[in-house]
Amino acid sequence: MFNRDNWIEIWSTIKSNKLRSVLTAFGVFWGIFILIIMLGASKGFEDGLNENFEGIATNSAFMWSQSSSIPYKGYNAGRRWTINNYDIKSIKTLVPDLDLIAPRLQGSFNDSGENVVYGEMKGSYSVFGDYPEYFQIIPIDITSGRSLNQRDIDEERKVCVIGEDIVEEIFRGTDPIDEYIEVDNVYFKIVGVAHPKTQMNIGSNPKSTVYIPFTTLQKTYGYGNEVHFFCFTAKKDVMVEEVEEDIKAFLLKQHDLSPEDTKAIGGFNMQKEFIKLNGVYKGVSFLSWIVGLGTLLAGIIGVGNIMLIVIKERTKEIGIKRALGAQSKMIRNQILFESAILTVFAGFFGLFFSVAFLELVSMISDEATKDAFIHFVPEANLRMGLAALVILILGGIFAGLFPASRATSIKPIDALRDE
Amino acid sequence: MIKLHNIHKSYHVGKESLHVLKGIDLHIKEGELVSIMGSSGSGKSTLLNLVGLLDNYDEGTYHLDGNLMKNLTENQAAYYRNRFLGFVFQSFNLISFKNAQENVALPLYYQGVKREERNAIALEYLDKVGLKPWAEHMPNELSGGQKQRVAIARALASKPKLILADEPTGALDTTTSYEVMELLKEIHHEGMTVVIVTHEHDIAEMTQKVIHLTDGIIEKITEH
Repeated sequence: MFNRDNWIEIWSTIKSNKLRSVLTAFGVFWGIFILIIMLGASKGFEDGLNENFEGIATNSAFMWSQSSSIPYKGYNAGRRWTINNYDIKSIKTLVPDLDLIAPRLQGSFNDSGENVVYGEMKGSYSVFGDYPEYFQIIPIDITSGRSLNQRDIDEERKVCVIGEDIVEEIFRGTDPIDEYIEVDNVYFKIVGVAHPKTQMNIGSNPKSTVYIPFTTLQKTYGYGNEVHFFCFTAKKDVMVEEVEEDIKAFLLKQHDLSPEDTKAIGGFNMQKEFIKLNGVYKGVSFLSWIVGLGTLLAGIIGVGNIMLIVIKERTKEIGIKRALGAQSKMIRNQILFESAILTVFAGFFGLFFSVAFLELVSMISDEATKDAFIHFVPEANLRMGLAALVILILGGIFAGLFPASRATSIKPIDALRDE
Repeated sequence: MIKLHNIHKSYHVGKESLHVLKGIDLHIKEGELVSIMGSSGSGKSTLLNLVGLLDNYDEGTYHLDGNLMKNLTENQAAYYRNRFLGFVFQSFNLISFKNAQENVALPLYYQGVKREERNAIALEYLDKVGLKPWAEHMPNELSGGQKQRVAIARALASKPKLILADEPTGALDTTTSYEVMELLKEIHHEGMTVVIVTHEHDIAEMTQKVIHLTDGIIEKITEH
């Protein structure tokens, strides 16, 4: 099958109808090109989104207090209430499916003036009081020094972890570890530098945040036993939604809020968002396959169509060969081989150019979208390429099947009569 | 070599049935040079197609070199055509994108002869028909007479038992026609059985035996 005569014949057919061959090949080329581009792009989209969730406990949720919306037990609607330390402690013991809980306090806000001072340098940054558990839920990278620990909490130490932008702007890049900075008129010793692990920000961007032990902040800012908001995770194999319900029920009861009051407690369920996003990129990937394969199928049908015309045109030649003793399987193989070659050849070009295109795009977008919400780096992986190759070869043979059976059904006598 | 007994053949076009061969009895011996003569519609081409295993017959028996040729599959027919028969057509039927040598080598390719060997054999036969210098030429670079000689070389290359020529001079001028006939006669002198279908009397005159076909039956056989 792979002898020179076959190649000569295929080449002469392709050569004798250059434009037609090129247009046919283009159908397959375009099909595989679109397929790979779409799959690569949707993979890049998926990876980019996944990167945002990297390290984040996806079975987590956040909760905060809002104004009540239903009058209850003698209280008017619109009452402000606050979560407190006791609530957190109670939730820990009362909700069995709870895994981690991390209350948070915000010290000062970005717009509260230049609240961080080091020598001559000043800047305005977010200040948060946190438990070490928080970094298990929303991780940060510690680029130097250490993170906050339980002893910082227990001893209410005046220490802090600062974001890398603060190092850049206040310390001009010099080593800030063990230096003291003034945050809202209180001195804190810097023990670590934080770099955001994801593009996802909860409350503030870690790059420009000062993290202080929760207990220290609560005391120095005079928050009493108040908690601004808290995040928590569910135990393995438990939906965070169930834990969320338990906690809500507890808080409503504890703070004399109506059990029907859905507005009194604000929240954000990471797991729900994650599932939603998962659905989105499953859909995108599915759509890519459908559109890509559809385009490719159109291309392959194009090859089959052209092969039918080729056979029509070469009826006489096939007749001569049959008269000279060609067995039908030789004729069939010739057609199958020819359409497979045309498909695979065109497909390889499509594969090559689409991968080159994806590489080019990812080279540009890797830099351009580094800090964007989706770090978009489209890529064609090996599995995709192999799948495409198999599809191409099968497609090529498939495209040749019908024309080949048409060719072998030609009787030599009819073929010779064909002028 | 060829033994036909009571051969009938009808063509069906829609509901119409056309009885083309109405009981042919024919015996062509090995080494004969025979022509089949008849006007158009007499059934001579149909007869040649049956003998050439390009078509099936409805009734009767056909023995080729002692083998009964009946109800052959396409592939069996292809096998016998390849081993037993050499075809020469009116319109030459050379393959346009193959050069003279490759055209002659084609039947050998279907016999599974290796490339170098079949090219050598092809060259030998091209030499025999006087076209060795044209071996590398494509068909469209050859004259009609040359094309027909290439076709004859191709028919001979597979060492068939029988050459079947369907109006071999139909597309040629008189001088070239006679040259082609000379070549066929020469091949015959070397012992080959040759059957020529023609409607030209002068061509038929050159053969030993002329079978006159009229309306699907053999009207008479004249010997020279």
